[in-house]
Amino acid sequence: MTRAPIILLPVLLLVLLGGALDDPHDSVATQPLMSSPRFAAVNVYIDPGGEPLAAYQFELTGQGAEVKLVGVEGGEHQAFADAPYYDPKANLRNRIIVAAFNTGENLPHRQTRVATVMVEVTGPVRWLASLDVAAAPDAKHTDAAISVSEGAVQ
Amino acid sequence: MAGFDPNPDATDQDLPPRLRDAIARMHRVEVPVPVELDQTILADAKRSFLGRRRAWMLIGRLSIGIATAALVAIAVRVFVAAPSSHPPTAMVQPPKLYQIADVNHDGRVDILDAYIVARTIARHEPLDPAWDINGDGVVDQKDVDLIATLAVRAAREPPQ
Repeated sequence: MTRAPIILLPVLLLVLLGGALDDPHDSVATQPLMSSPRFAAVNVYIDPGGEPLAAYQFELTGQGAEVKLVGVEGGEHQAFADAPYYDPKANLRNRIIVAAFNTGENLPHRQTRVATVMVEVTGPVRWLASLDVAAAPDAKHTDAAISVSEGAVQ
Repeated sequence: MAGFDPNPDATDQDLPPRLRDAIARMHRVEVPVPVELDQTILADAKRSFLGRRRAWMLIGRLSIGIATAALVAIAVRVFVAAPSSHPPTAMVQPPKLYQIADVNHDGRVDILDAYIVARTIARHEPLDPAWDINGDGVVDQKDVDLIATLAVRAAREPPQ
């Protein structure tokens, strides 16, 4: 009986260690869910204002809800139809960076949907997008506007 | 009820003491045990108990070691790693890699750096050997992809 603490003490400490090593971000997932999850498609548009858009990079943030990134699809214009660069492991609740470029000559000049971010959302969410890079073929920054709209998953 | 009680220690049996002692002497078997045998058994018992004692001492020391390591790990986690709530990706990515990937030297790695390299490759223009980001000896699409990947992976870094 007196030997039991010898075995139980390290076991108890290892259990505590397991709890202490949990990623603090994981605890978010254990919070009570306010509503059932739903899938959503977040359409991101860039308007280059008449200039040809050769490269873009934006940050998308989902605020106020539990958001899981499912995937990112390309846009409607041929120049950006392929899936853009993004980090599949990005935590969308923090932010995700999406970027793409095209070295060709057939580039969009007007507002175009450059990407669609597929997400799983639990609860009401507010989408924030900021345009980090919008460049013309000469690799110079251009004045462009970004907008976001949430659509249904098709 | 005054029946016979098979328990020899019972005190309420009705046998006379002398008869009871005589019966007991009949069943007593005197077996002479050599002193050497006694000593051998005793030595074996000592060895056995000594082995168990050593095993428990080993388990005890091992447990203390595990407990100490767990305490140290908890302390490190709580007092050292806790202030940063972000994954330490900045340590995983060598800072020098970001410096090399900053092709246009604007102090950050973004899609423009990848675009510049890709555009130069597409136009078959002279390539800067410094753009060999992955160090495989050639500047190609792999370097472009690596720069773009670094640009979007910055999302996991702590905000500046």
